[in-house]
Amino acid sequence: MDDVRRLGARTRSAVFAPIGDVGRAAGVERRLAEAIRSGILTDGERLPSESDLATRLGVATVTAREALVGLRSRGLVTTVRGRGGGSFVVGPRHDDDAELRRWLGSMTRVELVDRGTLYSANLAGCAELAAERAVPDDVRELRAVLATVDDDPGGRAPVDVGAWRHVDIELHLALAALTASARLSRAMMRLEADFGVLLRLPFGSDAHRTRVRRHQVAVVDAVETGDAEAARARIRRRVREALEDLAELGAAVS
Amino acid sequence: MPPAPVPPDARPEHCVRAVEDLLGSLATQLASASAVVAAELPRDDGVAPTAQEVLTVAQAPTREVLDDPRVLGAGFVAHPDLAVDATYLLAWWQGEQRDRITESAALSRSVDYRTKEWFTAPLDSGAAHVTGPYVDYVCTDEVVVTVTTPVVAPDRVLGVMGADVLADTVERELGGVFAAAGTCLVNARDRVVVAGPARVFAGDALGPEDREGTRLRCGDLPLWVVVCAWPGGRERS
Repeated sequence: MDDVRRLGARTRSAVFAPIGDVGRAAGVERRLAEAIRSGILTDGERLPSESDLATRLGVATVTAREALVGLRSRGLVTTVRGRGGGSFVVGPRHDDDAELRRWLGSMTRVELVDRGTLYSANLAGCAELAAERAVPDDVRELRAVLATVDDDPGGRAPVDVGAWRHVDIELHLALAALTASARLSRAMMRLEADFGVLLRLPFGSDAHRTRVRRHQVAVVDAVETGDAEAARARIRRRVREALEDLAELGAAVS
Repeated sequence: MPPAPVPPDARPEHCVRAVEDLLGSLATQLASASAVVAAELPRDDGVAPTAQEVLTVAQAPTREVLDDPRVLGAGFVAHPDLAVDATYLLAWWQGEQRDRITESAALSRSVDYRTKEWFTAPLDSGAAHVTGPYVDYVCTDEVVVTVTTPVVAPDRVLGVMGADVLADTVERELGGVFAAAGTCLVNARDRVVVAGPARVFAGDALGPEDREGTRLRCGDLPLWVVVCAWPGGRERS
């Protein structure tokens, strides 16, 4: 698997952080399912063993096993027996945008903007807090996330749209992590599953990607200068633009 | 009932007609239900009715409004002075099963609906009002468009008759003709109810520059079809 698709340690450790008493098997299953659907855990990736998973999530082994059974029945992991075996992530087929387009085409714009507004308000709040809290090391990490893909419109190399989407998820979850609120971070993860895949559907368009990159850089700049208002406004604009592009895509599909 | 076919050369007038077909006919139905309730509710002896009497009177005329599957819920909302044994009284039925909203469900949020647009506006104007799209906390917790008509006796206000339609349903019914005509439907507060152009969304506020353009009123409803000046989107800079 190529390195660009690997997520940062912080995002990944949030996936495997102790889940507490509320979760149990259904909670474990839900968290892993969200991580798989939103692309935090990537296709083909090996999950920790049952006992490792149980230890890291702070649940009994039998609970971890039960969650894996649930994920398997939902087709989100596959289990290979024997040496070199284990449980492997079966990621959504992001190359199959047709499925997403059909979903978009069947959705009213009322629903689209409803999902987008929830996402936008949460992420804008994260960006605002991140701008207030970030130290230079945090900003360096954010820039490193952006640097894993190059904005090279008209470049010779074919664009890896998946990698672009991945960087965008990574940036958003990193902003959430900077709030130091586990609940807010988990809320953002749920929203990635609820809306994130749609948000990044237009990434196939060069013009869209170029605009998103400008917004990404501007958000990180605002975080660096501690300009909470600018960070918030930039996120709102980035999501609104995507909503408008999505509505056009949806109109073309339906 | 599927939405009416959209003429390829749809014009603002087609949009007006589509709005009248959906929301105008609902307002007409509510007005006749209002008349029934206003005629049957006051007791000859002048004693205030009980909540149970209000429910009984409201149920039959409401049922006809609920016959339209596009209606999410409907009923009568009593003025707080009306019933002898209840302050906030909703004679309201909704959902697939047309279940009655119980007091506890709606009123545990201690919603004083006397200040709500859907309650005050038709009583102020004496005519049908359309509220929304807005998030309705009283009954549905959904984004809805609500049509309400005043229910008044000669000497006093009794309440309002109303019906909720999901904003989703309004878009499915009307979105096609507004998209074809490139128009928007706006409410009395200059907020978009149905957006034709893709880059505008229901709930967006009309900008000052858009208030100048041509607008056509949808019958007696406080709704206008406007030719949009912002097909490129509202929040781009």
